[in-house]
Amino acid sequence: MSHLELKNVSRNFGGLRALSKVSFDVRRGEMLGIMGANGAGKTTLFNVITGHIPPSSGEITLDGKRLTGLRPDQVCRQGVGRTFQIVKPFPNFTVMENLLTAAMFGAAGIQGKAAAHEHCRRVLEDMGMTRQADYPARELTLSGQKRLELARAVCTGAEIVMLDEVMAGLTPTEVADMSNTIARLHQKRKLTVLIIEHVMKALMNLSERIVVLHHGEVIATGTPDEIGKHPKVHEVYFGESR
Amino acid sequence: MKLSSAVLWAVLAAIFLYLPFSGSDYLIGIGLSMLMWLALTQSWSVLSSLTGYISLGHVVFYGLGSYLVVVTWQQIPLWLAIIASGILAGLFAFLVGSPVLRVRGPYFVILTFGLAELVKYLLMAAEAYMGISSRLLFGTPDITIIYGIMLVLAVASTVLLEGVHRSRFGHGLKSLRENEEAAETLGVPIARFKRTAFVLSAIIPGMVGAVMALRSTYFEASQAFDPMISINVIVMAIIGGGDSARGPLLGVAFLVLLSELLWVEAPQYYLIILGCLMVLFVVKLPEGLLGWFQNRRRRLMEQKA
Repeated sequence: MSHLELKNVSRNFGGLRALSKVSFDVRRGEMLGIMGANGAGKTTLFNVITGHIPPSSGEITLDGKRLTGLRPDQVCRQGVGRTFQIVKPFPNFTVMENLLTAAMFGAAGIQGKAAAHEHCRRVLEDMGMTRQADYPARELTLSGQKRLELARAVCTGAEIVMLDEVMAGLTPTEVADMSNTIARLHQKRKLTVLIIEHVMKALMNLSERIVVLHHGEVIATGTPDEIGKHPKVHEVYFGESR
Repeated sequence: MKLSSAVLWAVLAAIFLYLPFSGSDYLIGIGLSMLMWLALTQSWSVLSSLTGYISLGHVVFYGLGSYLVVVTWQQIPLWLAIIASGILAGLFAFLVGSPVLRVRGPYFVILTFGLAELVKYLLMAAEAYMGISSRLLFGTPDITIIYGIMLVLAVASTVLLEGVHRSRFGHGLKSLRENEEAAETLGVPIARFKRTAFVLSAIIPGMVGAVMALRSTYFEASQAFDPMISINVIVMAIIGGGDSARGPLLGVAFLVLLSELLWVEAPQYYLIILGCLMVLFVVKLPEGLLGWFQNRRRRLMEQKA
């Protein structure tokens, strides 16, 4: 059975059709890449799933339960965590305090402070960030802040983690590092991961399956190999038709 | 709690418990005024310090409380009127909370200010319509009783702020102050939390207003809803600084003592000096006295190490 399912999801902004009858499903434990040029509707897709923007029509379900119509905090408590393309840390909190919010209010819903601390400490360990626990978030580098976003999403106790360009703006070494971290978390914590990425190599390596969006429509779905050879994808990306 | 802060609170408690027995009306008056500002500033901080939604209309709760006591004077028991004042203020916050807390930053500041003024003018119009220009209270309780009630309110307000500040709820409020969208994405029910904080911060000033009406023995809307009360609260919170209950305590003590000194020496300068202090603190010490003390202590520790 599919874990997360989208059925004919559309979203209009005035006359612009940002998403047009998008349907696909995500299996439990899968790593699914979402590809598309700027303005293809990738971030809108995330916003519609997490309740930041209501869809104009269509339905989104998690394990058969409707997500559509829920507020972002409710979606989070259902077990969906996400990062933002433009990072949104709590700047005056320490790294640990940032994570505690996620652990106490997300799907994990850990009430006690000590237990929440322990939960977050383990996530930091998995990410190799233990030493930064007491850093104020504003003093982290961009790479550090992107990692914090990822750590926070995981700390909510989410089963599905949605990553919106967590590698954008990073150096090649940092990209490799981030790729490894994502792969490690995915395996160790049995997470379902949806990942939007412009760094093509990383996306191809990480994803088990890829959905390609173009002008708000799904034009192709398949394994990275299949997508690499897909004529429609070539047409859109390179302007050639074979 | 650390030993030093336990000692600090014990000394304070001793001073405030001793004052009514000092026999000096002047000292009791200063004590009462400190307790009143303390209760107001701590309760204001529950919403405004913790969520960053700076309210410039805190006086509206105070005024509503005053009014309720005055209109029910000698018709219902006093204790009931005081409790009802708190409930009325909380209810008002609950009703206006949802729409008001939708706007942020400077818009929220202006909106809360305008709301307090609106209620003031509505009440003045209603009173004028009924042909009442001011109401007098006869047979109000002795100042030591007023002092006692205010002491309870100040302690309650302090405990409330400290409790919220340390709780999971308080962590959620501070998260949404840092970044509202991120907090919501991490599962914080921001609308409900803001509204709850608003209601919690309204109840005590409602009761404070009720008690202060007994102290002044009359009610006039322009005084019970005086915007200077809201402004004073903000100045005290900013001069004190920080999220915990210690900040407002420092700010209140500093400003009440300063104003006492100035009333004696140079009353005409009070507002000028207040303005200068405000500028000085915002520019030079944005974290307030509490932040300044903490930085100093940290620096001393570093020098030792």
